[in-house]
Amino acid sequence: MVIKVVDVVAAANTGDQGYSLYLVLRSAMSNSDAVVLSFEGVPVATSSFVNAAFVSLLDEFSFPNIKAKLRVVQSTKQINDLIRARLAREAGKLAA
Amino acid sequence: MQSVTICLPYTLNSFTLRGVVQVFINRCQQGLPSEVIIDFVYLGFIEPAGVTFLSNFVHWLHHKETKCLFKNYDKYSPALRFLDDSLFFEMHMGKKVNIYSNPRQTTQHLRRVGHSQSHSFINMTLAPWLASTMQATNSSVYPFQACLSEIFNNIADHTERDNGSIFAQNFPKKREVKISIADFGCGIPHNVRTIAPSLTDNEAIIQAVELEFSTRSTPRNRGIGLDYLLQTVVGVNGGEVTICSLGGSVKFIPAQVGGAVYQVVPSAIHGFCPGTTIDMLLKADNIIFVEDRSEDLEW
Repeated sequence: MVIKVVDVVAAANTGDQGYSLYLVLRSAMSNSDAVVLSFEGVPVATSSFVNAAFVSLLDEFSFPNIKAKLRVVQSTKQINDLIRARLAREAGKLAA
Repeated sequence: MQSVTICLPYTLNSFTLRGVVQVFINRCQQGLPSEVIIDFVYLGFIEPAGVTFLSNFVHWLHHKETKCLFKNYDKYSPALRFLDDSLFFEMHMGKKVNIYSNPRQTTQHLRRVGHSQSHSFINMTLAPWLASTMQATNSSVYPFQACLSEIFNNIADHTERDNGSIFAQNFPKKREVKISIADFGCGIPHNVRTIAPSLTDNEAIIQAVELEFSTRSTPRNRGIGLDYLLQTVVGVNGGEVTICSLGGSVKFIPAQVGGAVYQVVPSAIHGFCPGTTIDMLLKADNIIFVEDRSEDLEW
């Protein structure tokens, strides 16, 4: 299953936009073991967006499970660095 | 009190204006006057933070229903020409002092941006200008673009008015860019003290930038935005961030000792900032080159 961020939200700037993506991602990951998320056309994401879209997934999926199910493609270094850092930190707190 | 005149200092920046506004507030113990006259006669030099701070102060006076007039703004010194080119007078008087004044190539002129337009302004106007002036790829300035969006998200989350004033200037010889954003919301110390009431204004600002400190003004806030700003601008770029809010003013500079990302330099001088002003200093020579191409996330 392929999800394009721009088909769900106009940009990745706010927590509300992140929450909209979270709802789509949660549903997709519940029904599929291979979800591809494309950031094509989205250059930047804020922490509010990443928290709402990705960190919230930790309530339902383990970090290894997210890494196994979700592929993020056509993204940028800024977005990838932030997703990785936020999920790793929050998953670490849950594990502690 | 009917009318109060405020004489601007020779150098206009957030540091000097904090003092000027503090003196003004001290004179207004019985309430704000119906009219304030801002006198530009001694003005000789303006920093970017001075443009947004002064503009924000004028907006704040209007919001408090105090009429604001200008005096000695038409003698047309270099500093006043700069202020006119920044479109300060057009914003506050409805027209430029000199019809030939125009925004300079080294600046992004003064704007008042609402949250709904802020991200598109940053994405379409400010970030491309930043990449061009710093001679960097677009991807190389994406982290700064995200920082600016974080600041406007904070304004929307923490103030009853979601407008921010923004001004940016490139200093090509120094290879530096300064960006200043101001709002006249209730201020960072006010928000922090809702959960940490004993903190001074400086302490509250320092607390607010701590990773994962949040007043939870919206349910999804996790206290990441200001930390991301400091990590990106001070930690990675070696620049500086100064936050003035209410009675506090704290500068964050690169750490001189190992381990810490930044060094905290609180101001010991009394002053007052209506709302919050955040100044960023970016170093063009320290920009990390990132190629303009998409990449897949490697977990």
